[in-house]
Amino acid sequence: MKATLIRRLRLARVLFSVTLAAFIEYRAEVLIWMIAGTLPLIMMFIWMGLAANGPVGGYAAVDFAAYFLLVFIVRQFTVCWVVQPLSREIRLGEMSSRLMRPLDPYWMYVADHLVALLMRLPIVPPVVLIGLALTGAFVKLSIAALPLFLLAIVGAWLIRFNMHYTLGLVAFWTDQATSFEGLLFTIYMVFGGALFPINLLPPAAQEIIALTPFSYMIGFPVDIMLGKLSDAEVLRGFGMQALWTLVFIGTRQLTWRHGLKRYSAVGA
Amino acid sequence: MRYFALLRIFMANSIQLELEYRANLLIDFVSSLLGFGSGLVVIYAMFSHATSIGGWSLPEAIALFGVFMIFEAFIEVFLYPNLGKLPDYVRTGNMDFMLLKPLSSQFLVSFRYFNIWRAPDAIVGVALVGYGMIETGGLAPASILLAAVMLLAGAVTTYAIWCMLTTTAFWWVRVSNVMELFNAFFVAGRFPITAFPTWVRVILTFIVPIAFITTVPASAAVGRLDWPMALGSLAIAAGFLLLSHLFWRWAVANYTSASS
Repeated sequence: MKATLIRRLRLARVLFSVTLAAFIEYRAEVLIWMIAGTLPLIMMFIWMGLAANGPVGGYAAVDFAAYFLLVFIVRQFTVCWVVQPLSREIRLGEMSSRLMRPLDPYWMYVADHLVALLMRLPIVPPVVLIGLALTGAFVKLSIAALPLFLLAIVGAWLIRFNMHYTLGLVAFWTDQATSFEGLLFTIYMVFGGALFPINLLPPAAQEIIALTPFSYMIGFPVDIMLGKLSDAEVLRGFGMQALWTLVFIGTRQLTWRHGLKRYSAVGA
Repeated sequence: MRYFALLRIFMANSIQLELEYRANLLIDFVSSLLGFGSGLVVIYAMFSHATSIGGWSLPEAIALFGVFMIFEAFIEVFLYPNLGKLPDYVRTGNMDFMLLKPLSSQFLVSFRYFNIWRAPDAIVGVALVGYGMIETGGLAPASILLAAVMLLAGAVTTYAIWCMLTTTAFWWVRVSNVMELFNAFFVAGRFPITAFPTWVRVILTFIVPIAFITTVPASAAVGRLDWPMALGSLAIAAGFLLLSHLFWRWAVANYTSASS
């Protein structure tokens, strides 16, 4: 028991240091990520402009500022690009060398994403703090909700990563995995609330969106930090996050097991 | 003229290639539909709570979204299938073969493949522009011509920016994210430039000229264009194209192949 634990910890350490070394080689990418994640800020400007002469659907300009700065944070912490490398490795047979290692490739991708998250970390506070200072949106945040906000980001990450990993595994059957990713991204941005707060839609649409995993990947953590949710709603949200995480972990494992059989059958 | 003949052959070949993978058809169709739908949902969300965006009315905003869709189609049909492969050419050393061909290497890397299935986006885009023109009473031969010229200038600028961004692959092989860079700014093109605060406007006009790519052609269509912007658009297109060519030549001159 103790021996396996030590072995696991050593594996994790090796995994992280190797991944970190690989990333430090590509420092320029950090700058690119920073700029590539600006969509929430663009939407912030647009909505603040619309609300300049009075609240829009209950959101004043400063509310939009707080909303989209939080969206920016959530997006930065839940970036996921696993579909492309995963599907490529499966298609080109590069997965074979990964399978030789004493660890499910899943964990290598997890390490990859977590290390990237660490590298990304330094760029988030300056952008958010400057944004909050310039717009005066700081008063709109409920600081007491910070621990729950972070927990909800973890939940959002788990849903997103497992969902995308499952999608990447679809490459065992078709070479279209990356096209599906584009579709998924569009839905995610709209339903997640990255383009506008879902509260601006008619109630019926809101209810439908609340059943999908997407609203727990952006909108839910953001609304927690804005103090918009009652205790019951927070509890329900975390329940939905747990549910969707389990659903996607389950489908991922199922897809992996079936896909792997197919992979060896093809002899790639 | 040899280049035009080649272009025709490349196009025919691409269509043949694409017909082999007809599964793409459905996915591309669905993603067109989703892109269109999500764009309209955003416009709906905005106009159900406001009467104008940055001084643009609903039909004008729809025309602008049409222009945006035309450029998205342009990127998906022409730019992504070609320039998107450049990092792989450099990484695998296939770039060597491109350079050996008796052609402009920039031409070959830029116009070899076409993803025709995304072309319907452009038709939808044109329809939306047409709707905007009719609603604003601007549908006339002169404004159609002007809008077409501005679209062309915008396309040249878009190509040049993409070309320069992907050319960096000669130095930074892991460049796939660089294309995301353009998208990050390009999404701002769904909205009129006047909807942004002044300092963002300056960036989107003079540093990353998104304003000239989408706002200017849409302005031409709905009769809001002023001459300085029109001339600026042509100048920027010419300048960026020249710049991209010089950058390409410099990059190729410094290229040392994958193995060395």
